[in-house]
Amino acid sequence: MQAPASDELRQFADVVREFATEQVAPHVLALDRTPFNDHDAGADPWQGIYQLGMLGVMLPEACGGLGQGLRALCTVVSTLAEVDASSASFVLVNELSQRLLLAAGEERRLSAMVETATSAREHALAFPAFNDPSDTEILPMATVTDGQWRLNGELESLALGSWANQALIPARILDEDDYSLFLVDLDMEAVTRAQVLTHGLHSLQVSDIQLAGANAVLVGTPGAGAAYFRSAVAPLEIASAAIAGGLTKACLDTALAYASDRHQGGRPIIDWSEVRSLLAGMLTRSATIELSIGLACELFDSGNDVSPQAKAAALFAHELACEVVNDGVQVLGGYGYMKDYGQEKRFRDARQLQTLFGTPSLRKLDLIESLTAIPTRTRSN
Amino acid sequence: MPTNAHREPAATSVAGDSVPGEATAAPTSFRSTPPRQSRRLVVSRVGDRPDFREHSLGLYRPPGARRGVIRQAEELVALARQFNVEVARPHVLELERATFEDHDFLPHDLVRACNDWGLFSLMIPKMFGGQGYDISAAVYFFEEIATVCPGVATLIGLQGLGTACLMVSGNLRVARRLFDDVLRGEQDGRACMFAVSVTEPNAGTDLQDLDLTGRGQIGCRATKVEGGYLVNGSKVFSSNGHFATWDVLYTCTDPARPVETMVVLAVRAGTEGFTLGRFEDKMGQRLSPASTLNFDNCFVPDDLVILDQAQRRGFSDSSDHDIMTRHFDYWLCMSRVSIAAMAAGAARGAFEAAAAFADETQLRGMPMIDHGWVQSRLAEMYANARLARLAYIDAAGANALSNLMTSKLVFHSQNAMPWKPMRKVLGRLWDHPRTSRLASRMLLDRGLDQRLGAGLGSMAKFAAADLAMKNCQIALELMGSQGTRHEGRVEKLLRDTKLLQIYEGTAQLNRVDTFKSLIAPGYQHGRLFAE
Repeated sequence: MQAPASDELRQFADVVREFATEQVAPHVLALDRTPFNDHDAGADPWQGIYQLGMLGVMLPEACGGLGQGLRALCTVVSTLAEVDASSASFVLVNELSQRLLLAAGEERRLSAMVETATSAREHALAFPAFNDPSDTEILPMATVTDGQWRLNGELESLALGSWANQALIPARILDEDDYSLFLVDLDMEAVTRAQVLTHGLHSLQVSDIQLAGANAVLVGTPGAGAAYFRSAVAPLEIASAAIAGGLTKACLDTALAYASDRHQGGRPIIDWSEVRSLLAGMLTRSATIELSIGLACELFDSGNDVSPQAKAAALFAHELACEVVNDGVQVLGGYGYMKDYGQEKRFRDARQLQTLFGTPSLRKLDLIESLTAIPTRTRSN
Repeated sequence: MPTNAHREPAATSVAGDSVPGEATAAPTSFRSTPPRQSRRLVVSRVGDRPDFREHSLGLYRPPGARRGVIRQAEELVALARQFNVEVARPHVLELERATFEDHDFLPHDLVRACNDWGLFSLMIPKMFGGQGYDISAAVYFFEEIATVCPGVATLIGLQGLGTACLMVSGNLRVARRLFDDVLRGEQDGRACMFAVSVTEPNAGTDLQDLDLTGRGQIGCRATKVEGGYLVNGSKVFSSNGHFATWDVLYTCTDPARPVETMVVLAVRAGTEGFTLGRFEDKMGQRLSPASTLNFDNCFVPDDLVILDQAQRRGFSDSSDHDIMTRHFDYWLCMSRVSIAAMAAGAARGAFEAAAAFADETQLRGMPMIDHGWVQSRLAEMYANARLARLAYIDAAGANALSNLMTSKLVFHSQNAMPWKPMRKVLGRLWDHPRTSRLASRMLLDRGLDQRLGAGLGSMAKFAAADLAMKNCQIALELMGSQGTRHEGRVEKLLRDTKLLQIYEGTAQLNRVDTFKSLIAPGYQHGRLFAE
């Protein structure tokens, strides 16, 4: 991430960096072993994230957050991602859930939740962040009896689904065109969770859930879920690219250090021009991510909407990150393919990150819709 | 499945000594009586989608094409498809998950199944009692297996690599001894596998290109003592090391002149002074362990020396460097074209998964596969898989022209002679020192010009692996979060495929080798490693 704009932000970044180095780094391997640990690997580092206020960077102060802008959030997540992209994504999923509640006009409820929470787990809100619910074929059905909403059916890929106590669940209501959002207590008997083994970001503990008449609380207006999602997710697409930026920076640093140290043909491999060429490619991509995200933050924080160009840059950043991590493994050869240097984890995390907030190919197509107002969605004749 | 969560206890080998990691227990849930090649199987499986003949047009007209190779390829494709249906597809995800749960888990059941299906003797020449499949046919087998699991393809492919290393040394006496163990293992259900150990902790690429080896930091060395060699040092990333009964070890007597003093030894698991270290925690291909092998004053007797300076003495005016380059080129041609075929399989596997997903998924009011942009992506993936196949078929064709092991003469003599009844007599012939000496000289002293086979093998390997990576990436982008789920198979294919760009020479080294073999000879300049 580009140098923070203000002294205050710079100091904040230093705090996050120190925290990540001291309190996240020792847990990275265990976090990545999820779900095969015999303990909760996220307990300590994520509690630290919560205590430092990183679970509400953009949340207004009135709701118990830090009330900062997008640049502050991007600084936090990219700095965390230099050590562990899944911890950075943990911050982002929570930010998304909070923004969804805010978009739904649920400030009061959100304030109460933040105020009563005493731990990261109580604070966290699971959400199927790897999908755009509008493009999800199967969603639970919601019915209401005597003012009590109940959810039935299944939902796939709920991020933090096996970890958090509560979730924000998209579900359909009969006769509504679009989905609605509901708050659900995941610990109740009517909810069954099955953990999914994902490509990367393992510690996000993605779950498929079954709901059998689970009590739920409607959030905002029925059928308005998609509108809330679009409004809430826009700046976070840039923040997810900032995670990719932090991850690629660490990947490049690791590759540079290895190439300076490892010898081949009687000299450090960094002296071979083909290795330099790989490293140069990584640098150009990494720098492109960093600079474009910095610019996107500046535009957003000075009051502009997230433009299609900013979203495009964020999507492209993920593609670039996938290329960087591929070369990052390659520079290390066989060692890059093993867990020892962290490159293989970055390889997996970058690709998992690319699917955050929906299928990348579809999100690209939707950009053209936002530029031309011609719908991408196919209309049945 | 899986049933054996931990490494199996040491078993008694055919020779009566203890072999760590050797599979012994009775088969569990795998099919234990696999079909041997039969025409019925060929007809039933080659006709499966995708149609083999439609996919393999290049097979029918390569330069120097042999009709027998086509028949062999059909048999092997049918066998691979049957194996995928009955063993690989139902079990690989569960087995891989077990490796995540417990790093010490090794898929012994899978090894046993491969052994029961006769997959470890596929490429052992018929004159030694094996099934005698030609590499030009075997590549199709590797493609098929890799559509489901490149890790399983490596597990089986390593046996072919060990077989090739033995054969292209010309040392038929040692080759026969090791091949006999494999064949006996298939009879009594105790798998006998090969590992080939080249890479060292401080020398990877240096040991894959002999032009660099002299400048590398070589740590493992052999010292000539009376009656054999004493080996000290370590090897890393030895695929299947924890399963292998025999390790084909590349070392040297003088690390300052590693090529000139190179020694190739057969070291049996359990030999005093030879211990297995850890096996790596890899991103993918987790069903084929990459092992560390440690040698501490490990004595290898003269009768297990596959190739050393003494055997090369008396060759004509070829330098040790030239002789060893020929030896390496012979087996690298075969191994790299096999990996290219695995890459073509991975590219196809990613395409097939994405196409099936698009066909089954509704997207924005219509089947996903009806969207034009999806059709274009699928067409691109289809093309990539097919281009990868063309690359390896081309390289296999070059092999047939320039590799003595895959020449017409060897192929036809393999298939024309009644080897089985002659095995006893032949055993004596293979054991005679003069036979090995003659074979070594034929292969290594002057040999054939390997540039085309070596160059196209390298080119096919990096090109096909790049295409496979591209397909896995496109599949993930099409499938979104569904593609990143373990049970969706595509994310595993991506992890497995990445190794194809690294082992058996990185994609970068294979570019260098392509330049060396195919491009540089046509130009005035173009020295390698000159910068």
